[in-house]
Amino acid sequence: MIKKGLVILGLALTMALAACGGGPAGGPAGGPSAAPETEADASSSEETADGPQLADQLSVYNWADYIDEQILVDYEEEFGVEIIYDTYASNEDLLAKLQAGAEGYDVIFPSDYMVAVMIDLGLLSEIDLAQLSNADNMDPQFMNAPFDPNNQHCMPYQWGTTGIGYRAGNEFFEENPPTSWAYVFEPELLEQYAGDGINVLNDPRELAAAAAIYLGLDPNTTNPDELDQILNLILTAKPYWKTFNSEDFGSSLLVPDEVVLSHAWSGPVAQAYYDTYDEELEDGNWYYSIPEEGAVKWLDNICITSSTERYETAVHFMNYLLRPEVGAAITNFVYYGSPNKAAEAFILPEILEDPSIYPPAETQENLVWLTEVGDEGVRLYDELWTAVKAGG
Amino acid sequence: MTTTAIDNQQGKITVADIQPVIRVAAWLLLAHAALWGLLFFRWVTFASFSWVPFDFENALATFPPILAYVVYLLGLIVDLTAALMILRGIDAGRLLGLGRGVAVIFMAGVYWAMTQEFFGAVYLAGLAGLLLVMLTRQNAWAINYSAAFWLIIFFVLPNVIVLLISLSERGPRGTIIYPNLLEDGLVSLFNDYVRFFTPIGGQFIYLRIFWRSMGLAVGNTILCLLFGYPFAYWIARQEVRWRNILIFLVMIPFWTNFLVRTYAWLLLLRDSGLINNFWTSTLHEQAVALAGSSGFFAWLAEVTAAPLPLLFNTGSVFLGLFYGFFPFVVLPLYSNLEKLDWSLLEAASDLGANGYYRTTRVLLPLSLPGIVAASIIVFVPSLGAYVTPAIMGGGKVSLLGNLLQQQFMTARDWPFGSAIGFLMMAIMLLAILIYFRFSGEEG
Repeated sequence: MIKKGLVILGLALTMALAACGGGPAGGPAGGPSAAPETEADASSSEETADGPQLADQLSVYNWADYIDEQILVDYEEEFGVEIIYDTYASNEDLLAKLQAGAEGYDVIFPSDYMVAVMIDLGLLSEIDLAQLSNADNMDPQFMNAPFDPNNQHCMPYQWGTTGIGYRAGNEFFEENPPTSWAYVFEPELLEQYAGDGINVLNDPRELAAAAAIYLGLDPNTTNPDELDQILNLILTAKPYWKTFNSEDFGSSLLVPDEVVLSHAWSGPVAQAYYDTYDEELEDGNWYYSIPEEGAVKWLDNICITSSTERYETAVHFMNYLLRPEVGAAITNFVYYGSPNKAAEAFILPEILEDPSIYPPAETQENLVWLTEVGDEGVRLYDELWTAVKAGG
Repeated sequence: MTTTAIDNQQGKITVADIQPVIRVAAWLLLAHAALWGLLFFRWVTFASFSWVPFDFENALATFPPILAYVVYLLGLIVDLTAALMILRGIDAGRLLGLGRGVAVIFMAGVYWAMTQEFFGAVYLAGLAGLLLVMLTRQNAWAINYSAAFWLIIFFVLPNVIVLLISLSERGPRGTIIYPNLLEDGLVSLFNDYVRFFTPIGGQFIYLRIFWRSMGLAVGNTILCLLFGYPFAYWIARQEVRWRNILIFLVMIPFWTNFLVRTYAWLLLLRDSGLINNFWTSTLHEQAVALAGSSGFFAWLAEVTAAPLPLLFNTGSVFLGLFYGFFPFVVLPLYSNLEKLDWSLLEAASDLGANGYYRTTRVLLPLSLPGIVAASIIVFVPSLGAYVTPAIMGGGKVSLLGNLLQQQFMTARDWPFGSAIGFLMMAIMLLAILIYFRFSGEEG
C-alpha cells in the first residue's frame, strides 16, 4: 500500500514538473482585469467592418417604470443582444449597490447630483462623444450640464421639474390656482385646505430648495443662517402637512384623493392626470403648476459603469436610446420631457402641448439645477432634515 | 511478502484504535485531496475547456502563475499523505494533518489580506480549523464547531465590523476613513457617539428622536401586554383541544406578508377607505335625513361631514405596531401560563385569598418570566420599527429606524449610522440582561 501511495505521489510530482516545465499555461488568463482589454481589441479591429462587435448580453439597471420595455425588446431583436433588465427605487439605492462593489451592471440612469458623486468616486466610465452618432439630436440646453462638463461621462435621458400638483375641481383652487410656493408654506393659505390633506416630497434637498426659492434664497445654499431660515419656514408650515411622501404619492395619495395639494415631481402628477382621465369631461383630476418664483429642474442621465466589461455594447445601446423615435417612445410612456430635440417630431401632441411637461420658455428661465453641496453641505442638510423630522 | 505482512499486522492493530473523530478527519482530508486534484485539473485545462472562472481563481490569477500549481499540488500531496497515514494507523499522519491545519489558517489570512477574496479565505480557514479541532481529539468542540464557526462569521465578525465603522469618520463623498489610533488619539474615536448626545442648533434632535422611539416602544409593549395577558390566560383555561385551535388561529395572520397586512390597514383607515366611507357617506346621509328630528342626529350629521383622522398620526402608528406584535405577546405568555400549576390558585382560594390577592400574589409572580419574555420580544423590534411608522405615520416624524436609514442612504454617513446602531444594541442588551435577571430569580 505504501508503495502504491509512493507511486501515486511520484506520478503527481512528475505531472507537476511537466506542468511547470511547460510554463505557466493554466488559469483564467490573467484575471478579470484582462477581459475588457481583449474585447476592446476585438471591437477596434472590427470597426472597419459593419459597426462594433456586440457582446451577447447587456445589463441595464434603471428606475422602476422608467422605460417602455418594448424598447428593450426591439433592441434585442434588432441587434441580437440579450438585455438583462433590473430596477431600483432611488439614487441612493443605486449608489449603495455600486459602492458595495456590485459588478455586472453596464448601463445605469443616475440623476444630476448623483452623477457628480459617482464621477468623484470613479464609478462611471468616460464616454467618447464621437462614438455617439445620435448625440447631435440632443437639445443643447441639456448638454454640458454643471454636474458633468462636456458630457464626458453621461448623456441626458429624461428631464422634469418639481412643482405643485393640485386637485382640479377644488373650489378654493378654482379661484386661486396655486401658482406660488406660498401655497405650500404660508399658514394663512394652508389653513384653507389643510383639512383635505397636503403632501410634500420626502426628500431633504427638494423640500429645502422649494423653501429657499420661496424665501428668495439660493436653492443650493450651504450658508447656516440661510438654512436656519429654511428650517424655520418648514417648521411653521409642517403642522399643516399631512404626509411626507416621495415614493408613491401619485398612486397612493393623488389618485385616491387623500390630499388636495402636493409638492410634486411633474411625472407622477401627469400620470395621476391620465389615470383619472374622464373621457366625457375630457379632463383629469390633477393639475400641475410650476410656481412663478421658480422651481427645481432635474435631469436623469444615461451612464456607463466603470466596472463594465461590455463597454462597446453599452455605448451602442446608449446611442440607440438617443435615436429620435426611441426618445419619443420613452416620453410617450413615462410623461417626462425628452432632452432629445429630434424626438419631438414623434412625441404625442398632447404631451408636447402640456405646459407641465414642456413648460413655456419664460417659465424655463426660472428653473434651476440642484447641484452637489459637498461633504459639509450634505451634513448640514442631513441635520436640517433630522431637525424637521424630530419636531412634533 | 514480509513487508506486506508487517503492514497488515500494523494496520490491524492500529485501525481499531483510531478514534472515530480522527477517522472522520482522515476522510475529510481524503475528500479534500480529491478537491485539490479537481481544481488542479481545472487550472491546467482552462484554455482548452474555457471554464467560467470562480472568484478565487480570478484572485489566484493575480499571483505569478506558478503559485497555483504549487498550492494545488502541495495540497493534494499533503492531504493525501496525511489521510492515508492516519487511516493506516501511523501517528505521524495526525501531526502532518495538524501542521497542514496551522499552515492553511496562516495561508488563508495572507490570501485574504492580499486578494480580499472573502469566501475562499473563510472556506480555507474554516475547514483547517475543523481539522485542528478533530485531530486534537476535542470531540465536544468538533461537534459544536459548525455552530461556533457560523456564529463567528455571521454574528461576531459583522458586529466587529460595525463597531470599527462606528469608530471611523465619514470621508469625502461618504467614504469611510478608518480610525488611526496613533494620530487621532482615543477620544476622537467616539465622535459619532458624542454627536448623538450633542445639541444641533440648540435642539437635541437625535435625543428627541430617541425618546420618541423609546416612548413608542414602551407604550406598545404595555398595550400589547394589557390585551395579550387576558387573552393568553383565557386560552390557557380552555380545554386542551380548543387551546391548540385557538393558538393556531393566532398564528394564521403570519401566513400573509407583514407588508401586505400593513397596506391593508391603509385601505381600511384612509380618508377614502372602508371605515371613512361608511362614516362620511352611509352614516352621514342617514344622519342628515334625520337631522330635523333630534339634536343628536343634527350633531351626528355635523361630525360625519368630515372623515375621521384615522391615518398618518401617532395613533395609527400605535395601532400598526400593536397589530403587528400582538401575536408575539400571546405566544410566550400562553406557553408560560399553560404550564402553570392551577392548584396553587385553588390553594390560595382555600386559604381565603380573594380574586385580587390570587392575581397579584400568586398568578402574576408565577407568570413573571412569561411577561418579561413577551415584553422583550415586543420591545426590541418596536424600538427599531421602520416599515410601520414609515407607512402608517405618513413620514412626518422620524424614529430611530428612519434615522438609521437616513444615515446610511441619504447622508451616506456610515460611521454615524453604525454608532446609532451600536447604541440601540446596547439598549437592547440591557433589556435582555434584565430578562435574565428576572427569569434567573424564578429559576
